[in-house]
Parts: sequence; structure tokens; C-alpha cells
Amino acid sequence: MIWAVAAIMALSVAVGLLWPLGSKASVRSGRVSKTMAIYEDQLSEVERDQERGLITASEAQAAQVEIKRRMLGAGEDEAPVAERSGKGGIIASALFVPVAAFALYTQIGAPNVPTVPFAERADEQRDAAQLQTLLGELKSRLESDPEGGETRGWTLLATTLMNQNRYSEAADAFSKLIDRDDATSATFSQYAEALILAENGTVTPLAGRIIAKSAELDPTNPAATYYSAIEQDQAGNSAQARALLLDRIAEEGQPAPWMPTFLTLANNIGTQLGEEPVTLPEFETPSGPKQDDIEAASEMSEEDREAFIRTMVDGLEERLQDEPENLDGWLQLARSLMVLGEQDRALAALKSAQPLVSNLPADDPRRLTVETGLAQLGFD
Amino acid sequence: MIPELGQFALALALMAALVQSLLPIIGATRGDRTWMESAQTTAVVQALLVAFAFGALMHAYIISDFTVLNVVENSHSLKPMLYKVAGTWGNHEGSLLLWVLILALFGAAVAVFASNIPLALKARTLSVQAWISVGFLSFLILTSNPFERVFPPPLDGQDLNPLLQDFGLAIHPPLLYIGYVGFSIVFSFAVAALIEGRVDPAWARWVRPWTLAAWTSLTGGIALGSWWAYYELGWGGWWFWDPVENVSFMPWLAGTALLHSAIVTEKRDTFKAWTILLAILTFSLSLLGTFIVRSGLLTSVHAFAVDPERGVYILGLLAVSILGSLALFAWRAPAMESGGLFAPISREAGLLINNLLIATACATVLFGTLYPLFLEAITNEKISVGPPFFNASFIPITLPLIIVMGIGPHLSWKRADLPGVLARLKWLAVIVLLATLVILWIANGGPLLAVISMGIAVWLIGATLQDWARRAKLFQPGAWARIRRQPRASHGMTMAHLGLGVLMMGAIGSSAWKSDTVAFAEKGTIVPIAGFEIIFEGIEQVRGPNYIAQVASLKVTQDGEYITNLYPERRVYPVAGSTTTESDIRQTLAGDLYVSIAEPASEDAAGLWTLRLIYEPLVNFLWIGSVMLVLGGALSLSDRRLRVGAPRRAVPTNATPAE
Repeated sequence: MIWAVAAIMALSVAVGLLWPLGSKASVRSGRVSKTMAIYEDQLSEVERDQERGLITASEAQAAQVEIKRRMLGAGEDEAPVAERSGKGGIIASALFVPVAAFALYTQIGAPNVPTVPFAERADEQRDAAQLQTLLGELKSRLESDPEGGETRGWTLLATTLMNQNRYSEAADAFSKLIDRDDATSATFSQYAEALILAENGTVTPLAGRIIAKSAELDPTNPAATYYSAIEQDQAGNSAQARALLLDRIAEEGQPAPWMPTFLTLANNIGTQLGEEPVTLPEFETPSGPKQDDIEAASEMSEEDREAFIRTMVDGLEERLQDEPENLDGWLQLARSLMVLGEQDRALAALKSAQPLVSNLPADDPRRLTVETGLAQLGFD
Repeated sequence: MIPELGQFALALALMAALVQSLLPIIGATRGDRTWMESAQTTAVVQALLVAFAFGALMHAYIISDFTVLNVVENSHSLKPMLYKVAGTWGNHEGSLLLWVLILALFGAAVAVFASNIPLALKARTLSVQAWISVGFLSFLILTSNPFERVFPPPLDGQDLNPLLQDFGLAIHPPLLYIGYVGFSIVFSFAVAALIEGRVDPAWARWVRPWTLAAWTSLTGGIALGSWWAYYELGWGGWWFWDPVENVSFMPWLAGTALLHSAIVTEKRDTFKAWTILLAILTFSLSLLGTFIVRSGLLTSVHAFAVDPERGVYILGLLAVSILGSLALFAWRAPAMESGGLFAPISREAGLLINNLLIATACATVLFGTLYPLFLEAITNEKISVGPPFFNASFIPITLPLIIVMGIGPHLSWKRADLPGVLARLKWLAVIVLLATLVILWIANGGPLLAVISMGIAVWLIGATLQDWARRAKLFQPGAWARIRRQPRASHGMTMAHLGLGVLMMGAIGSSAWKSDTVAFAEKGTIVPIAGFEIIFEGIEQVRGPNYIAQVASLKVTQDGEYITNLYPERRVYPVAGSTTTESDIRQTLAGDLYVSIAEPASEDAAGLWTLRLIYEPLVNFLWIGSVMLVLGGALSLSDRRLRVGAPRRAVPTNATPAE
């Protein structure tokens, strides 16, 4: 359909561009004849002005002499110009325009995206309205609860509101949680995030206190560090803010999913300070295979390779007995064991990782990996 | 599908513009009639395509199609329909599309209506116009695509700002753009004439209607913007020497100079190079304005440097068109022989002074606008050049201009009789002097410069009226018939010059004798201002369709006598989460009494409200004068006849009818 209409458009444009081929020569198209027309007009205007008494006869005469002198200077029309010699150019242009436009359109267009008038999206709006109703019901149920409402309920309400960019309402919901015994560092940092987003990125004094509390509960919570850096930067201590971020990356000692975000902020602050952008440090992958090992593995036969991988995995498992806090190590081990089909050992690895993720925010990818892994293996 | 067809139409338009930028101008050089004529069809085709694209975008706004990113970012399903439509051009991409549309429409208008223009000149002009089109269409498509899509569409749009939902704001940009971009066709005519190497009275005559049309709508656009600032922003000012205002004012100044210089070229075959240069400069200033506003340079020079893609593209376009046309000018202009000679005292000389003064004024504004930008770029220091600079530099240049403006129309072409003219104007001078003394007495002192400026405005109005009466021989029988037979352009000149005088009075009155008070009021408080007493009678809560308002009730008296009641409001829009101030104004010809309320003075002072009172004398003269300027332009535009300078003889007193 769209291509048919576009083709009709392109065709009409081509026909339009061919139009000059069919037109007839006009009688007075040359420069001199057009100019003469203007001067003749000027002469008659002088006559009329004189008749009307706007200028005296002598003034009129002087003006007429001047105009006539211009008429003499205008010269003769050039010889009749070539007729239709440029047929080829016109035809070529009528071909060029549609073809080139199609070529350009295929680069920039999105022909498969339909037009969706707002009025035709009643279903979607009803769903959205329903979600609002549910949220409203949830909220009033939690509020009417004499014991303050379940923590899980408030968390659900707050995170849903955050997803809908309703930051100040989300902040309200989080504020109900912070005085509870089960409030973790993540509760505080999420509350701070809602407060900051509600103020379009400004860290208010209240948000600052919440961040401090979050950092106090868990100094390793990256969100707390991130928002303290923003707070420092807004307070004018940009250099400290940048150092805070970079130090935290260095402390971690191994790659983590939050690092790119940290680095972007650090470099943005760095640009303002006139510092060169930095990149993530080269981390020694603590327990993974070295580059040489990978190359060695790729040259082996199928059995040899599996045996090699098993050695690697066994080595990792052994090493992890000594460093039980190495979450990424446990995750890698579990992943490798799943690939090797050793579900029991994978389950054991995930169980070892479980206490390490219990303090992480609910949407942390590592926590999700552990939880989904345990669920898959039938352990809950 | 429709947004995609709009996108396709833009691609077609770009390609058509490419063809139009080459075939006709090559045809004009080779003497190929068909190639030259192709300009007329491509120009029309291009305009239709861009109009289709613009219509497609507007359609997306009307049906709130949130698969178009531009609609998501700049509209909302709950906006009133008028502002959905106006949203089409209320953003970067849409306003550029409007820019390109007006560009194409001017090209098409020349193709269709300018039948009295030689084919070769028309072909070259339309090719030059197409060069500009290619530049801006590619800018639009490559960096600011209005038809960017999102799928699945977000639930609703993001923009529901009640402040921006204003009728004046909705129609101000299109009018301003017609003026801004309208000067493009004059630029194209100038560049075509340079390429052709020929500028003569006929050329000036062909270009005149286009200059007038652009000037008239630019005048209207600027006036409307000023009017909006005065009534809607609620700050009680109408001109702030803000960079956004300055960039529209500079093309207006240059265009005004161009309008006058082109008259000399048309009537006396001289000032040719100067007219061409002004045509180039006027459009260059329009481009500069587009660059400054559209590149984000104004928010911060550094914000521009961080995301420079758009800015650099326009800067490139700006450099190519301005430097290119100026280089062409430098190469070709010296070859243009000057035509008619004139004496130091003549209409020509008067217009020359006018041009020099306007050009200087324009340069002043340019300096004041660009200096802070350069300073910030180099030293990182942010300064703002405000009214003090412009008042100190712009006004001293314009006052002599206005004095000369009164005399100019009395001078005849070629060689004028200055003593005769001055003798004719001496009674007027006496009247102006008396009027100035009266103003001094009424104003009871006041800034001396303002009193003198008022006198100069009276001078301009008087001299213009006297010139008109003299031409019509107003006090002799048959005057009405003579008035009707006079060319409309000459009435247009009278109207526009009178308009400027009236506008001046408004500008001076409302800035020099403005009174401004802020008071904390509770029930019964009486605040005196400019001879009025304002009595605060209390606040009432009123519920509007989508807002809650606190309406203050104010009684205005003068010397104890009741004048009127005023009801300024403060509105809170709970859904949009914003507050607006609706001022109330008592408008009279003598001046506006302007009142607004802000929130309670402090939380513990319940019942105590902040009242802002402004009295602006003569401010309505501004709008009346602006309307007269626009009417003057329109009157001149409706006169298609030629004006031919009728030189006086050397000794006019001895003039006797010849033959």
C-alpha cells in the first residue's frame, strides 16, 4: 500500500518535471523586451503625473529624457534562444528525482511503522487506566493497614511508580519503608534516587541524608557511591566527586555491571574540570581462563577440549573454597557447570552465591541470575 | 503510513531542489530555453512536496500519532486542538520544516506570478533559491528529521505546558518566518543579477514587490512577538533587547535600508552596488538569526560545543552562503556603472543618509548581540549586554535618522531646494518647539532625552502630514480626487512614516514615564500609582475548567472617583502541576494600568498578598504604530505601478510650464 502511494507520488513528480517539454515559446521572454515594457510603463506614468499636476511640464520632460536614454541603452534582444535542445537533460532529471529519492528514503525511512492515531488506542489506554486503578487500590489498602502495610506491597508500589516516571509519588512510597527494621541500604538508595529524579536531578538536603544512611548501611552499595558523587559535584566539589567514582571502580578490582555508568559520570565531570577522559582499568579476570588457555582450547579436539574445560572448572571450584566471598567467581562456576550438564554441582555453586546476593537490590542482574538459576534447578 | 509519505515527499523535494539548482542556471548560460523553463515547474513541484510533508506532520499532530517522535516530544493528547496544530512548528524540527516550506513557497510564487521578469533572470534566481533549499532540506533530513518514528508508541505525549498555550505564540513564528525567509528571494534576485552582471531600474522594479512582502510580514511578526511578551509573559515589558529579539530586528533594519535604497535604484539608476549588498546582508542576517536560535548557542556556548552537529551544519551553510555571495559581490560589483548623478541636497542624498544611519544602527545591534557570545567562547565569562548598552548606542543614531526622515520626502530628486524646503517647514518647527514645551510641562520634568525624543516624534508626524497635504493640495478644491489619484505607494510611505512616529511615542512614553510598584497588600490596603489609588478588596477562590484560581479584587479610583475594578488571577493547574499569573489591564489610549498578584508574601503572613502594579503611559501607541507600518507596507504592495523620479529644474522658483 505505502509503496503504491509512494510510486504514484514519484510518478506525478516525474510527469511534472517533464512538463517544460510540452510548453510553447512565449512571445516576449527576452530581457530587453521585458525591460522595455517597464520603461514604457515609466513613461506613461510620467505623463499621467504631469496631467494630474503632480509635476511640472519641465520636470516631466527631464524625466522622459532620462527614461528614453535608458531605453536606448537597453540594446536589442539577443537572437532567439535554442529551442528544446536540452530534451535529454529534462528527461534525465525526471528519472533522477524519483530514483534518488527512493534511494534516500530507504536509508532514512521506516516504511513498516504504521500510523497509530491516539483515538484508536482505547485498549492500551484502558489497560493503562486499569493499572492506575490497581495501583490506587494497592495504595489505599496499604495506607489503611493499621500496621503500616506490608513491606513487599510498598516496594511493589514504589518500583512500579518509578517505572512510570512518577518519581515524587514513588518517593512517598519509599519513605514508608525507611523506618522499618528490614530497611536495607538498597531501600535507602532507591528512595534517594526517587527524590533526586523528582527534583529533575537536583540532590536536595533530604536526599543527601538518605544517601549517607544508605552508604552507612552498606559502604559497598554502588548506588550510594554514585549518588554521593552527584551530590558532591552539585555542591561544587567536582574533583572529589570524580575521585569518589574512580576510587570505587579501583576498589572493586573486578568488572561489575555498574562500572560503565560510573565511568560516564566521572568523565562528564572530568570534561568540566578539563581532565582527560579515562577508561576502565584492565581487570585480571580473577578466575576465568587466560587468553593463552582460550587459544589452546580452540586448537584442541572435542574430547580434549572438554577435558581441558573440566580441569579449568575444577581449578576454579577449588580456588573458590578459599575465597567464598567471590560472587562473580561463583556465578561463572555455576554457568560453566550448567553448560557441562552438571546440575547438582551448579546448584551447589548457586547456593554458595545465594547469601552474597541477598543484600543486593531486587533488580540487580547478579541477584536475578542466582534466583532464576535456583528456580530453574528446582530449588526455591 | 502518512508520516512515511511525508518523509518520502521530503526526499523527493530534496532531489527536485538539486535539479532546480543546476538545470536552469546552466540553461541560462547556454541559452537553452527548455532548461530555463524547467525552473518554473521544479519550483512548483518542490513547493507542493514540502507542503505535503508539512501537512503530513500536522496530520500526525492533529490525530496525536505518537509513533512520530516529534509529536511525542512536543504534544499531548489533552492539548486543545488549536495548540496541537500550532505544535507542528513549535519545536526545532517542525519550525525548520516551516522554514523550508516558506522558502519553497517564495520560489513557487516567483515561478507562477512573476510573469514580467525575463526568463534568464528568473531561471538564475530560482536556481539560487534552490541552492538555499538544498542546504536546508539536507540539514533537515540529515540532522533534524521531523519524521523520526518510535514503535511501539508511548502512552501519551510529553508536553502540556500551559504557558506556551497562547494564541499569539502560535501565530508569531509563521509570520516572523515569512519575513525572515521572504528575504531569501530578494537575496536570490541579487545573486542572480551579480551572475548576470546587470542591475538596472527594471531589476529594482521586479524585485520591489518581493522586498515589500517580506518587510511587511517581518514587521508584523516582530510587533506580534512584542505584543505577546507584553500581554502574556506578565513582566510588563515589550522589548528586552534579548538576543532572540535582536536577531529578528537586524534583518528588519537591513531590510528597511534595502527598501529605501532599491527605490533609488529603481528611479534613478544608481546606488546599484549598495542595493545588491543590502539584499545580500539582509538575508545573511536572517541566516545568522536562524543559526543563533537553532544551534542552541544562546543557552550556552559550551552546550553548543558539546553537541555541535546541528550548529556546525548551519554554520557551514552560513559560511558558504555569506562568504560565497560576498565574494561574488566583490568580483562583480565594481563593474556596475553608476547611472544618474545627484546633488548633495536631493532625495537621493536624503536616502543615502537614511541608509548609512540604519546600517550603523544595525551594526550596533549586531555588535551588542554577538559580543557576549564571543566573550563567553574565549574567556568563559558570561555577560549579558542589555538595555543600557542599546539605549546608549542605538538611540543617538536613530534620533538624527528620524529628523532627516521628516525632511526627506520634501526633497525632490536630483537637486533639491533646501532653503525652500526649510522655509516650508519653519512653521512646523515652531509648532514642534511649542509641543515639546507642553510635553515638558505635562511630564513635569522627566528625562530630558525623552522629552526631546517626543518632540522629534511630533516633528516626524507633522512633517509627514505636511508633505502629504502639500502633494494633495489639501486646501484647494478637488483635493479628494487628487488624493484618490495619487499612487498607492506614496500613501503607503505616508502611512508607514506616520506609523513610525506613533510607535516612537509609545516606545518613549512607556519606557521613560513608566511607574512600577510592588506592594504587600491585605484587605483594605490602598496603593497609589501614577495618580491612581488601587484599593485591595480581597481574594476569592474560583474554580476553572482545569485549574483553580485565586482572584484578587481591586478597585481603582482617581482623586477619590471610581474608575474601574480589576481582577488579576493566579491559576494553579493541578494536572500539569504548574502555576500561571493572569494579569489584568485597564487599557486606555493614555496608558495601561497593569496589575498582577503573586503568592502570599510569606507563609506566616496569611492574608498578605504581593501586588505588582505598573503604569505604562502611551503603550498602546506602539501597537497602533505597528499596525500603521504594516498597513503602509500593504498599501505600497498593492500599488504595482512604477515610480519615476521627476527631477526639478535648477531654479524651481523660475519654473514655468514648457511648451
